[in-house]
Amino acid sequence: MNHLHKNFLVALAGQPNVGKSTIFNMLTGARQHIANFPGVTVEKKWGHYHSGEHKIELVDLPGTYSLSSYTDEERIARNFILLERPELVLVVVDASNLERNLPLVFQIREMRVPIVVALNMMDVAERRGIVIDVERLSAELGMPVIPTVGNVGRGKAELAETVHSVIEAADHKTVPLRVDYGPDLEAALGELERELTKREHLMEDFSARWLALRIMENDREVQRMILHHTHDGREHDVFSLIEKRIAAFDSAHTVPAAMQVARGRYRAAHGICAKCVRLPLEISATLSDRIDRCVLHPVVGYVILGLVLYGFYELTMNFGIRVADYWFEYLQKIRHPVEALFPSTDIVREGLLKSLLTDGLIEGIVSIVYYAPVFFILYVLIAALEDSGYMARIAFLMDSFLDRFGLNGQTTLPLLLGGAVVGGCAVPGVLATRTIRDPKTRLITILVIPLMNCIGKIPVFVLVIDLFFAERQGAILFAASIFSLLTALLLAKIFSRHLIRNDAEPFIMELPAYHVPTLRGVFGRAFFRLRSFLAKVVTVVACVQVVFWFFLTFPGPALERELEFDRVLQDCHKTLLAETEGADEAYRSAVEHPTVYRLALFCAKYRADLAAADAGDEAAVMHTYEERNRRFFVLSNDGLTAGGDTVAAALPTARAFTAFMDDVEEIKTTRRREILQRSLAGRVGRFFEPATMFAGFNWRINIGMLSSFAARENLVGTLGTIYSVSDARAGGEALSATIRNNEPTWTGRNAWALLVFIALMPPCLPTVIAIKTETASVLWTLFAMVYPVAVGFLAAVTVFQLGRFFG
Amino acid sequence: MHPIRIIKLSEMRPGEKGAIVAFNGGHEFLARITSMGLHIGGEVSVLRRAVGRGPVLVGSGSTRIALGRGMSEKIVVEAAGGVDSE
Repeated sequence: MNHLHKNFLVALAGQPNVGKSTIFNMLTGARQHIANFPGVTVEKKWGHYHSGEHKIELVDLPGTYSLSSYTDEERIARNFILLERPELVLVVVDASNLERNLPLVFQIREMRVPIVVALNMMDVAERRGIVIDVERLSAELGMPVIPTVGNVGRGKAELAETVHSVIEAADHKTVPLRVDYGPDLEAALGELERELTKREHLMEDFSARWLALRIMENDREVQRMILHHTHDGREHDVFSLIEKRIAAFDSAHTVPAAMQVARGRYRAAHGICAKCVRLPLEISATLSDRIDRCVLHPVVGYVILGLVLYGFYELTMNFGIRVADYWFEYLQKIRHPVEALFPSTDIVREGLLKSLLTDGLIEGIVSIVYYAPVFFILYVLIAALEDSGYMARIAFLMDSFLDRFGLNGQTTLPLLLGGAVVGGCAVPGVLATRTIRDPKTRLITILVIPLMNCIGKIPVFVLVIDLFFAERQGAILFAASIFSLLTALLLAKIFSRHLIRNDAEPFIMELPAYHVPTLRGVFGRAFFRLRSFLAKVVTVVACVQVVFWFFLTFPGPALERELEFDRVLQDCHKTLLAETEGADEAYRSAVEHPTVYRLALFCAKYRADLAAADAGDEAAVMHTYEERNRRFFVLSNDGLTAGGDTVAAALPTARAFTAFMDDVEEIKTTRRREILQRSLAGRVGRFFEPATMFAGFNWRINIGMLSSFAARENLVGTLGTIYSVSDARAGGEALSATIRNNEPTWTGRNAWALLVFIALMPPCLPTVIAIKTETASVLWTLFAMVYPVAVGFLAAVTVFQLGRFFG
Repeated sequence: MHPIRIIKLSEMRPGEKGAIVAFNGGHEFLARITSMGLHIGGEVSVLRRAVGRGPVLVGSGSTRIALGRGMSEKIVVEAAGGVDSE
């Protein structure tokens, strides 16, 4: 057959921790993609390479110990081989642990697919003094075996060549290696095979022996598969046959069929290894075991764990946020060219399109891309922890504690990232749950992570604490984070008992031998994960931000109010003219109609740029504006030049103009507040007021809570707008003082109720998207959004109502 | 020589060696545990026990496996004694 210029599909299979991804990287280089397998959150990685005239499409199957159908990973790997029909399967095995790896090779072989074995980690085997007769092994298995060391690229050419020649070989029907399962089981298998062979439609797709084996291993999925393929009304016959066979076998033997199958494979593996593998006579404790004596020590181990987690936290949350802040300044620069496209034409109003693009779209994109450096560092560290083998040790050490709450050891890292200690971020926390193997534990972890104290919550906490207990800020912040953590653990326990009924998988986890992670492996994986996450999240966040912008903006002020604003503005201008009567005409002419509009826009822009400038750059901003228009600049700058000299002639006009600009600012603020009050969000806030008042939340707080969905820190800005503090972000204390003045009826219990609700705040939008990505379920995502509101509200009502009795 | 005892894996002392005699669990448990290299007749040793009701670190050949306490209670071993001279 001629295969000129054809694509060939090759699957890459292997058990976890055998260096499968290093083989994948070795063959495909940088040409790889990552996505999820449809419907599940199992990562699908694929890439390609050229081999002679062929293009080889390599799909990295999830690492599985076997190909039964108990986990998503196993089902996916198996169905891929069965249904996608790869040309061959490249099975990576650990040379230092061959006996345990061979049963997987047998299982794949039983599916009647050609195999090339990559005998990986040869260096580790050599170091341990394990000698493998590769030729003999290849002959015993009846398939090519190539020794490799994936992380240094050893064996690459030979492996590619072998894959090539197996594809080229016309004869794919090499005699499959046949594991002998012993006389009793073989008899049962033979009978099943004969029965199955009669069903031709089945035989087109599956191997009779494989089906028979899976049946004896009690594989429900395969029984369903057979049912699917039987359309002749004899389904019942097939099933009664299966049931009878298994029952007959199990009643005649003390060891059930499933175990006999497993035992048969191990016997075969053991037999082959006895012939081909020479173990060192004296098995000394390996380096890994020696490291584990320290790392898993009941005292030393926890000290090391504490140090590692602290380092992790410092690098992501402190160093990472610093890098992100630096990077934020560059991101902000996107705003300027867009803003420049829409020059202001009105002193008190902003264009809707401009506001949509900058406050809605760009703000939304920036809010998530801002975290990119944090995510990257995080992904790098996670990859390093995984590749080194330490991740599994963390799980070992933390398991007994977390097990009490329906979680397990693998939950440690995600909780920490989410902010179990003050100041995490739920998005990386949720993303890190990928390392949790058990689906139930993983789901519960995802659900409770948003309760942790992320960095966005902290300014909100600080604002509320400032309301009534400013002098005890540290203590209350600490208490709030403990409260969140305890509630999260308690809820995890409740969820695991009552909500998610299927049993948690028992905790079983391999502790792989320690490895020094390669830079390429770690950074490569981090980069790909970051890219695929951003690609997915940025569009969704941008869209939802735009919708939110709409809710917070429309329908806008009523016409009569707009006319009123114009009238007030005109009055202010009249006052300005009256006050500057007789002043130096060179400057006074600038505040006359219509020049005053240009001057006011100039001044507003100058004030904004000056406020945004860093401490050292203020002089530069001043000089730029002075060059643009000296007269306008002096008037905008209280009658001073950029050099700081007073211009006496300008002084009276400048003073009056500054007062005028403050009035304009007040009109703007009032108008913004009214927009918010009349907005759809404002109406929703008011609608819920009768209910939320049980917790002491009035409609103003409700709007703030709604706006915090886009990003929690928005709550502060929105309250600032509502309470008419012109620059809320600049002065948190000013805001809390204003709130106190505006809400004379509030007492400590209002603040306590708020604190409790904030501690259990529902996830922000980027987190929701991460939850959707990781659970692949709309229902669970909705639940994750709704339950914190319910629990938080109940808790807030309780606190507020109890507060009556304590004052 | 140490006397031979039939006990649960969870009852083995750190450093103790033994051979697996039986698994008391369902099909899924069986499938998982055998695929990871623990099978009837296989040699195992307990290397470490985590604090509290934490997992047990089991060695089998060059494989190291952390088993939850519940799991280790379902595995029956023939303990051959022999505590490592650690």
